[in-house]
Amino acid sequence: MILEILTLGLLTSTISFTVPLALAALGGLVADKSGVPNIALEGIIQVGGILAVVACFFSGNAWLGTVAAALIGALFAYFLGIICVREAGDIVVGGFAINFVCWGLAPTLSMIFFKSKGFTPLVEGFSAIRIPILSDIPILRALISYTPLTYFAIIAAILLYVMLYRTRLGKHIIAAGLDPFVTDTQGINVFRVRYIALIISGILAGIAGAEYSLGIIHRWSLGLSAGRGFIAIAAYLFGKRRPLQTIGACLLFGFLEALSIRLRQVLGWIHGATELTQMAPLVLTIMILGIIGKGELTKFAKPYRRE
Amino acid sequence: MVYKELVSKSWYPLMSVLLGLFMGFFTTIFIGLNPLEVTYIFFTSLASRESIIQMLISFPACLFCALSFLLTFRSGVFNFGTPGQYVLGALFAAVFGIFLDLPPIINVPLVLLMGALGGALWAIPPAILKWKREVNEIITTLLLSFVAPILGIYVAKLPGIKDPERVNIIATLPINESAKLPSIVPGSGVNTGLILALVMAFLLYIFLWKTSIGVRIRATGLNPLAATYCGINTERVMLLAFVLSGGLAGFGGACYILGVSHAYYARTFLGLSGYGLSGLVAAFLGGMHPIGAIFSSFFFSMLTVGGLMLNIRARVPVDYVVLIQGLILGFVAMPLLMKKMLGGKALRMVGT
Repeated sequence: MILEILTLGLLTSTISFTVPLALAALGGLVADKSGVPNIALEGIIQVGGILAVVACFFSGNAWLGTVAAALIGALFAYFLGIICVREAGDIVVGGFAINFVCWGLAPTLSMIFFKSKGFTPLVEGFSAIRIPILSDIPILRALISYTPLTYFAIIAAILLYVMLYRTRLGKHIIAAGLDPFVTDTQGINVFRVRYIALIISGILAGIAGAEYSLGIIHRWSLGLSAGRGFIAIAAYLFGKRRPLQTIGACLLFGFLEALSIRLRQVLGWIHGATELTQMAPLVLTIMILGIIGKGELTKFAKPYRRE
Repeated sequence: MVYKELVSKSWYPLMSVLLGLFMGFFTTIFIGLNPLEVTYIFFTSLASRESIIQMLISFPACLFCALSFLLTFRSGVFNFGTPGQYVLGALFAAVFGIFLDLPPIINVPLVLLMGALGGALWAIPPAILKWKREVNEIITTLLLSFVAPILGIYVAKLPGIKDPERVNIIATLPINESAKLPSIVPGSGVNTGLILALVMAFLLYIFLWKTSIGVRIRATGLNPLAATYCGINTERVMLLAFVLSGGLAGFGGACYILGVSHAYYARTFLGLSGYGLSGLVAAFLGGMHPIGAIFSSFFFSMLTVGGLMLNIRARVPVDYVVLIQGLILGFVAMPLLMKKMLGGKALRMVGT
């Protein structure tokens, strides 16, 4: 029974689920570091997912789909920037406004292009990379056979880490988040820095949506994001707003998700098992947040307005 | 007094609505429709008798959710769990409505209270986590809102609760005749939930502005630190606000079951969609004021019905309405821009 659940396939799907979550969480982390938490991750994942499928369906090229998803993510993050950075609107309300627009837009696009509200037809999307000799060894295959976006995500994570801690821009981002007033008086354009951070998070969340739709389920469905954008926020809060810990948290949440899907396959015949396993990762995420809990770490920043 | 306050404050939400609607209708050009035609159909279709009836049917649920959200907002926390608490209220009401069969005069209030209890129970975990562990309530309430509809499917599929005659959809057995809310206009579906919701809005206004507990709730929201020094137990106040807010949302869900659908259909509660979500936007648009929420909830039920009509007559996808809601909320979130447009009049973010 336990052996049936703990297979190499579980490891593979853990990593497949971790990657998009980590992309979204790292993007959210950068935005949060700059002082504008991106609450709209959820919606951007949703819209990125549908646009990737649309672009991939009509062009036949999965990379084009990914680029489209990244662009729409950047666009919505820019809109969020207009509300929360330029107009100094409330971050939560602004984020929700964008979420609503995305939640409305995704089924609308699906309806226009595919005449179906709930899901789109299957697309080719990305398939796992096969390296000639190495991929024939079962254990190695579980470790290295992933979609190209997975490798892209690993590179992106490293670049993001370097950007945040080793470059001027990264230091400006952190400074803008720590104290916008002081940063502004030092001649650093806080608004520009925050726009950049938001757009980075939008691009990454869009790509995360593309990975969910093109890399994992090969279509878009209404339940594509199903709270994952908020789990991404939970992940960087759990990771105490540090990149490496955030990736660790994403691995944990990715594992929970992979486990719940595996359990669904094994125990699916039991009445109600599908729903219980669907609920479990969300409930566990809340409980984990409860266990780490405590203090300032889980609070969101306020918008900055020049006096 | 209330009236004067209302008029002076309503320019800002009205402007947001107009801009949001304008942008929403204008962008239909991108999906290959004529914006003028869409606008025309939207407004003309709202004038019919059926539209008004539909509006009145969906209005109470939206208003209850708006009231629920604004109550916690006034105490300084965000309860984005309103959609989830709404679902739980509906679920509890549907289940108790099957099993409880007392004389209507006792049964209806009892089942409604059970719905409120369901909503309140769903609000307790985030409140406790916030209180004991200082966990960000926005994330926990949102995640719980995603859990609630799945729990709904689980419960609605249980033997003894699931309707065995409906094979294709997941629905509970219809509730007992004695648990149904009586209708105001016979045969139309407009029910006493409408009156209940309006009464509740006035009660909430009196509660928040005229009672000592309500004043404590608002004081905590305005400045928690100052409230603590005034001897208010801010944590207890927040917990109370959370539970009451969950109860209100649950009450709304129960009203929907008892007055409109008479059974829990899992499909109508899927995802974050539905009245719980419109209620959130309505609370913001209503300036976080119970009386304002009446008008904004009415507007949002109008928007929902208008969206359905547009779907039928102009082939605009149903979910387009959610997009328009987002646009309106976006304008509500930009008080500075509104200030510029309305010319210097001092405007502040809702509820402050």
